[in-house]
Amino acid sequence: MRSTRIAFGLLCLSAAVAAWGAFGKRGLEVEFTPEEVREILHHSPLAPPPADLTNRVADNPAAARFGQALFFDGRLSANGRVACATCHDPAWGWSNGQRRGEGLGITARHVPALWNVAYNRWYFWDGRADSLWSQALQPIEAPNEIGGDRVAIAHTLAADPTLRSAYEGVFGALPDLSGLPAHAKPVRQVAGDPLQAAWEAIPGWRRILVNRVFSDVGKAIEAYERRIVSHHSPFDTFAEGLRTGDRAKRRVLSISAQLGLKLFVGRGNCILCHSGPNFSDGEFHNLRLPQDTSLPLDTGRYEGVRELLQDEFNSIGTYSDHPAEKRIKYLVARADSWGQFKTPTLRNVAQTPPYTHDGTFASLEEVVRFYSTLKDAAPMGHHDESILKPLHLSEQEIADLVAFLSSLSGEPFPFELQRPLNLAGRSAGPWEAFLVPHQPKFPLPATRGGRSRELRETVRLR
Amino acid sequence: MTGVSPCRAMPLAVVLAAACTLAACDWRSIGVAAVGSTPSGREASIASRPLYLAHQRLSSYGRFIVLYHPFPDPIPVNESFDIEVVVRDARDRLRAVPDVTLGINAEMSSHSHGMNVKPIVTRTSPDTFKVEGMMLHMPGQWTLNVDLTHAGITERAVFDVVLQ
Amino acid sequence: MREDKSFRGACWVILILSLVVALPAWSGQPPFPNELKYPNIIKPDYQFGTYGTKPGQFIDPMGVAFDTKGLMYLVDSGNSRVQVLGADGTALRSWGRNGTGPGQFVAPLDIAIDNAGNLFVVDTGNDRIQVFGPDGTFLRQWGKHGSAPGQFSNPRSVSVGGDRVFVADTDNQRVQVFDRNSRFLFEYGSFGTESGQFNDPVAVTVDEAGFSYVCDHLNNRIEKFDPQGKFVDTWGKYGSHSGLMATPSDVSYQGGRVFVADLINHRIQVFDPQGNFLFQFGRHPNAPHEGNGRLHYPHAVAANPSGKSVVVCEPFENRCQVFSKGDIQLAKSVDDSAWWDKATRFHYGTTAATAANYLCVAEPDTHAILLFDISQDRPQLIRRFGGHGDEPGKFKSPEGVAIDLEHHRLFAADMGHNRIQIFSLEPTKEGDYMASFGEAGTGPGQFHKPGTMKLDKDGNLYLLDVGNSRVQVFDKDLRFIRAFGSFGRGEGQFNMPSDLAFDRQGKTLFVLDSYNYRVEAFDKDGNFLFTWGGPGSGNDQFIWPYGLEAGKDGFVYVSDAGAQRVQKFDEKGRFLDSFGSFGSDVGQFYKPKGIAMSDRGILYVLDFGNHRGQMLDPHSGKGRLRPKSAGDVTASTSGGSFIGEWGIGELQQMGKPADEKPRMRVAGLQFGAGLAVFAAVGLIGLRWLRKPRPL
Repeated sequence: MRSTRIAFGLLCLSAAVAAWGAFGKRGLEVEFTPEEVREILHHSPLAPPPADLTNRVADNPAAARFGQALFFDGRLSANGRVACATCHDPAWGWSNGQRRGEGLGITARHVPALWNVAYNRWYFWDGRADSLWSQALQPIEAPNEIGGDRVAIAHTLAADPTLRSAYEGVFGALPDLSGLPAHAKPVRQVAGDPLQAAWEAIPGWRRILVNRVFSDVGKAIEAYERRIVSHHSPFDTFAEGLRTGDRAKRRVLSISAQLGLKLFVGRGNCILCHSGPNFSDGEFHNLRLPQDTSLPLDTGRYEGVRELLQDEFNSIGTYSDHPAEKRIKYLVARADSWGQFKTPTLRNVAQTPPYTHDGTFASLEEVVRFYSTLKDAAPMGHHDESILKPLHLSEQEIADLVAFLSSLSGEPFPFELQRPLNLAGRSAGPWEAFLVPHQPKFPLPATRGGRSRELRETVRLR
Repeated sequence: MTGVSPCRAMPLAVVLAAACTLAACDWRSIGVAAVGSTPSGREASIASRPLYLAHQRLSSYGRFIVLYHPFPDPIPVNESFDIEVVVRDARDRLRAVPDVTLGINAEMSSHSHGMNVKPIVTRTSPDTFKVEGMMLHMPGQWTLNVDLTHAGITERAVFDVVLQ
Repeated sequence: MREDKSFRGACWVILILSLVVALPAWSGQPPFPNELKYPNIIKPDYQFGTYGTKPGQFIDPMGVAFDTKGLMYLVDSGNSRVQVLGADGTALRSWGRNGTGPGQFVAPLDIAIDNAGNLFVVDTGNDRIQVFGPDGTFLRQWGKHGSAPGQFSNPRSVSVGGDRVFVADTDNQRVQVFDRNSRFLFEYGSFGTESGQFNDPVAVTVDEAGFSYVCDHLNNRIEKFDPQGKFVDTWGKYGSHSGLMATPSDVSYQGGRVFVADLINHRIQVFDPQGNFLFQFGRHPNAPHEGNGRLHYPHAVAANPSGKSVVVCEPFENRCQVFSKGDIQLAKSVDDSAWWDKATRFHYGTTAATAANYLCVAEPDTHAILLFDISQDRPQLIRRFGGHGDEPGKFKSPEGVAIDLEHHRLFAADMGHNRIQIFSLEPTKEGDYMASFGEAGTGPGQFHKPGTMKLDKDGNLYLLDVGNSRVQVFDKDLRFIRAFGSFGRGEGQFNMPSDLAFDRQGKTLFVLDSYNYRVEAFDKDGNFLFTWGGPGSGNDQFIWPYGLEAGKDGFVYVSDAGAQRVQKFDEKGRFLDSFGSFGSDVGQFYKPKGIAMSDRGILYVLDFGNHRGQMLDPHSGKGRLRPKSAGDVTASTSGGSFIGEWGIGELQQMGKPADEKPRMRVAGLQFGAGLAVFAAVGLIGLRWLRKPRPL
């Protein structure tokens, strides 16, 4: 009957609409507006890292080789078994795949990945170091990380002929270390520490010499870390395609990733902080992450500025090769930097879960979902910056953003830069022998619970 | 479909069609189109205030004409830059004003934050000030507040900057 | 028939099923912030005190101290007396009354106890310290108004350490140190923001080693000095995170712990003697007068020397809460932005001004100025501007406002910076910064705590320079014209003048002289004419007079934040009527502060303690009065009705950011769609259950 046909027709119509909704809208190619294109092209290509004038050997290949050897060498540590690579493991994206680092103890924060670390303006999550070499020095002496001390390291360099010649080839002769104690370093927070007492017993002029050797160690490590760069990713190919009109290059990004890119530069407002070719403004923001009240408070940038200005190895200090450096000349401590942490780069971000300074989120999807809902977000202070608003993304949009973020993974990194370097040229033993073994704990626990008990036993970094 | 009365089938089909259409739409984004709080007076005022993008204007109490040049120009996002500010008497624009002091800060009112740096101001000539170490670390709309103090009264020249 | 019944029954089943399935979509509302996640609300051991004059009742308990036996000595400021209470608040005895003689007080603010049990009371309104024996017998006093050693100006705190007495001499921006026989030893501090300087040092405490800790109120920090008064350390900045403070008002040391009353963050923070944050407790109340670990403007804190308990006084609530030391140490450290649950509420400040369709309110809590449009039933917020900061356009405690319609501008007194700021009132530019002038000092154009302001009919600005106890007059080009007044009790003198207004003809200026409990009248050149008032609760007396308004309808109105009422006088000072009583219903007040009358004759009263404003028409009701000329009172003047309140609506939206609204709409769609789909499917399914009709 006629009515039946009409009803049937309506049913078909609705089925067609449903089909269109599911597939048609997304089409086969994503159109970008001229503004979006302009914004996208601000994020590619990534130029070589900026120069670091405070380190005269920052781009010296011999220093980089020396630094690479040190990076994987456990002899810097108190027990001979912890190196930088213990936590900054190349196999785990130069982080360690866990919420916290495990050296001699457990760190207070998540291990930052080292990808593109040379592009940073500030170092550590709270920016308490202003150069890559001065950053490297702090974990080396931190008792819950590498746990070494500068005098012992000087002795180690002097005692090993390979290390000694590598050092002297770059920095000149080691100072005379005779008569110095085996172990000594300044220890700020603990009164009556024997290492601090031993350090104070050393005459001032010799302390400066030891500090210089120590800062040189950091500078060599920086020269190596400056080479850990990820710059050519599928996204960069896509951006080239946008710039030149090459459609084939545009197709390296899936539709989902392209829609995610559209969100990234548009409604998602991600570029407010993840700006520029390195996808980070290098500054500090408060994400209002959910609080774990069983852990000590982390003031972030607020304390970071204070510590930076007191650091003897900062860019205007004695050991900087460019004390006229303007980096901290205009820096000011502000109350609203409380609880702010550094914006990390998003290049290779898919390789480095978990995410945030606290390791809060086990996957990119969880991160994006947090930005979408702000569920459990800590309340905003009355005077804090008010950038974050819940984005209310659909499931598909979340998947699109994650797809885009995954497209920021660069070309494979040279293998010879990812392993210990044996300066003497002989084959090195398995380097794991130098390192504290750690088991990656996959699947990563949920963001709350899980590791809370272990985290409560955290040794405070300070 | 035997036994199905046509009068009954029609509304059913309509309901089904509506349901399928709804399913087809990305309904989570429907509500978001209306996102945003009812503008409070403050937000309404900011939204309605015209942007002052020119580099020269009269100060708020009418005593000075203020002109600024950033170096580099246009102002880069998230990079340190300097500004040169020229201050002259509003009634006689060729005349510099002795004894005027200058202060400057910048803020992003929509985000309620300022700069993370405190620039250094030096006077380089009777009518010119050099401001070193400015940095606007996020893209978007910033407001530069140039505060001029003379004869005990402080007034302000406000400039807007939109960074891409 | 059976089919119909089963059909209907099946319909109900399906409907209910649809609801059950669709409900989870609806319940996707964001939860209200979970109290249990911020476990810094500690239940007090004791909580006591209500508003009143009987023993055990308080009016503004502003200071407190424990003696070695665990008894509490409470400074009951509004009642001008000291009360002695047991640990649970039982009233034991009290002494003192209002006045200037020995054993009499005017706005006493603090108390300290030495080893022998002698009591040192800061008699702030009389600029002196009085000493009593343990039983309350008057022993001696010292001090008078001035800035020489041994003289005080608005002293607000005293602390005894060993045989030294430390006095926070607030308006002289210094701490003075005496021995126990009141002999001056030395002083330290000056006005400023550098280390060792103060901007309103309102509290001081001493530790066993003789180090003193000073609460630097408007610099939002604690400063530590060695026993010789040399600066040692400082901590704190403006903010609401742990370790940051918002105008802290008291500090107390005991057993290696420094307790800080973080007033505008409504909490107590505890530090070690090196300034490291340890823990905090207390949060702004959710419901009015909540207590029970919630703190509302905790003005004073004192630790029991026994180390076992801590008492917190909330003058706002006329109440004290006593916490056991063991309990408060369990308060877990939390990144608790103490402000979130009051962010959407107004904290109506202390002063108001109206002109044409504008109402302007200063809000010292948030250091902001609020501008309203009053052309409709209720004030509509146009703009909120200011905020805490040092730059032009920001404030440290804005105090007075005045609207200059002719020049499209608004004046606001920035008390903490000793300057007057001017903002535009041009359409679409309301609240834009225009200019500011003034600096600290005693000369012309210099200020010491500038307060309220009014414009005369020629556009000249009359400003209460409170700390300098005078009125300054400026012309429309901000040039100084004249100043008059000085500190004292005599004619033409002031002690903490709090508001001023012109009569209807604009020739007589009324000044509310609050610590002298009176209104003084001057001509425009500053010559004293007459005065009325006196301390007390009678019709023409005042307890804590705060705001004054006149000039619109031929009458003078005074708000009394101590008596919880607004009084109406004629322009000769004769009492006519009184409105309001203590409470939080419409028509009741709790600490009514600023008042302003619109051109239409509506009186806007900032009902500060009730977090709202009230509108009052003093002439409605029987005996509607319009005098033919000033002073001509011919009909009964009782009447006046309360029209309504504003600002209280925001309470209901507390804690729910507007972003949540779209989610509700979305959830509604999901709910509807789910319902429709399941209803449709169910109905279709039912078709197959029915027996086919014969064709």
